[in-house]
Amino acid sequence: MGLLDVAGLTSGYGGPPVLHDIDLTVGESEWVTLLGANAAGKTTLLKTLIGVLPAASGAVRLNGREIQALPPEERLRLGLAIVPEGRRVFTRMTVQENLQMGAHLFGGGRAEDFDRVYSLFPRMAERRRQKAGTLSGGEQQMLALGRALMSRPRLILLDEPSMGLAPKLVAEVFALLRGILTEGVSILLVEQNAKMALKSSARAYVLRLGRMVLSGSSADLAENPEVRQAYLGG
Amino acid sequence: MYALVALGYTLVYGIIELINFAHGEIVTFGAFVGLAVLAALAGTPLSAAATALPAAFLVSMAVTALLGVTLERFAYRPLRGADRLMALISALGASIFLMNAMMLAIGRDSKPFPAYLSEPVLQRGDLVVRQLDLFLIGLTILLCALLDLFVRRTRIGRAMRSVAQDQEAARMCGVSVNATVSITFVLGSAMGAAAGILNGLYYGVIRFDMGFLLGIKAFTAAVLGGIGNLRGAVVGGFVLGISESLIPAILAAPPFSVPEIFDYKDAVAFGILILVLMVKPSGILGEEVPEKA
Ligand SMILES: Nc1ncnc2c1ncn2[C@@H]1O[C@H](COP(=O)(O)OP(=O)(O)O)[C@@H](O)[C@H]1O
Ligand SMILES: [Mg+2]
Repeated sequence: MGLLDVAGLTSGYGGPPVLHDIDLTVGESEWVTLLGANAAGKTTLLKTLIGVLPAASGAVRLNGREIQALPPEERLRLGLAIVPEGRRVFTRMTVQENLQMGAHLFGGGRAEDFDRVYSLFPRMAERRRQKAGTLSGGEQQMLALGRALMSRPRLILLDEPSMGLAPKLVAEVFALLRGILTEGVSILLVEQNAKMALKSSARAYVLRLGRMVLSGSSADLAENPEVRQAYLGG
Repeated sequence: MYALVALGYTLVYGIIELINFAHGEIVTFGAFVGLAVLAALAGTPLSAAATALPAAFLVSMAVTALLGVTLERFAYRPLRGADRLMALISALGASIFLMNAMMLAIGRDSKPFPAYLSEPVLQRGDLVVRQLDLFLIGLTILLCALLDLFVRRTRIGRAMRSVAQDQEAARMCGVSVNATVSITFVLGSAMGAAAGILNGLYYGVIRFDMGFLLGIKAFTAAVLGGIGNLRGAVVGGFVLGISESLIPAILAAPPFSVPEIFDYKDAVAFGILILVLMVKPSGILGEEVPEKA
């Protein structure tokens, strides 16, 4: 049994389901990568896991506890957090307020959590009174990551955190994730940058048209001809 | 006064993008609850302004907040996520329903509102400033400032702003949208109740349909200040109130000398609304926000 166990999950937006019969596991302190072409359903899966989309059927367990019927706030309390696709920072709030939002359920943030995030992201500390909308794309991505860390998650869901970032910043994001992993936080990463993601993670899944079609160790999948052709440029 | 009512529109619009047509009726309701409290206290040792007014405001704001939350729960929440037009129609329906319910309960005639704080504090020729005038301005500014502080500085205020900006991202941070919207209606309705009582004190009478015109004008003030913008609503409210008293005064004097039988005070408000919508729909303090993605 892992930290997160998903079995037979079906989900969508009210019409025909987008996700069919998904099985997925993420262990304690494990980094799992989820690959898939555009519109495969990766974002839909993460939204269902954090609870902003209701699942049609299936079971989602976090640390052995059934969470499928719980609202997002309960899931956050149990240790889930998300870095959503497109960052979704609150652009009209300051950097500090965005971090406070990350700790909304925990009284708006404990001093040691601000210290930790600001030491991970020194540029955020300099800009703490600045509106998040004035930050560059890379800085907003860091802020979204910092916001997610404010709730002290045990499993962090990341939806294409390297999208639109310069290669140097992508490397920075991955370095940060490795650091978070060593602190005992598990990672479920959705990524277009398959090469780096597979290199960093222990296991990976491939989603196609709403179904899990492949899974295995990241090293094996990196050698899989199908994966190589579709996601690693042949 | 317009500022207080305008805050109710702008708060709700800012959070759920709904024009709460029933807000005017909320204001009327608040005025009548205030009247009931004042009537109940009349003749008791508590009837002095220093005790009766705070009691009227507190009770009315609390009871009216309850009505606001109930309204949201039954008339708006079931339609959240549905077509925006549906919620708008529901708001119109709620407005008409509340107005008629109050007419049945209270009657069609104007009810006298007890006079308080009517002693002049300053008198110079035609110009008379009563205690009430200062109280009205003072309380309006105080309530606006408190609301502003609440929204800007508290954890719940932050949650309200997060829902206004990006509802889904707010939920991803653990914000309960239902609870946040309820709080918004509590605040907006309480402000409206205060405005209703001030209105009664100022004009000396209240009627079941007083909220209608007041509501439309306050909505104008909200649009004028940039709907969804709290400080804008306050600025818009004061600008509208001042224009309404100044423009007719100017027009009545030479060289215009418009005879007084033309009661175009109300036309001023609507003239302003039309002008703003044509020239700068985003309002005085409104930002040119791109359509939500
Ligand atoms: N808000 C939505 N409403 C309805 N359908 C949606 C919505 N968002 C995404 N979809 C559909 O769900 C499918 C999966 O989308 P998504 O999960 O965003 O894919 P990915 O993240 O893998 O690119 C697509 O076919 C998309 O059209
Ligand atoms: Mg996606």
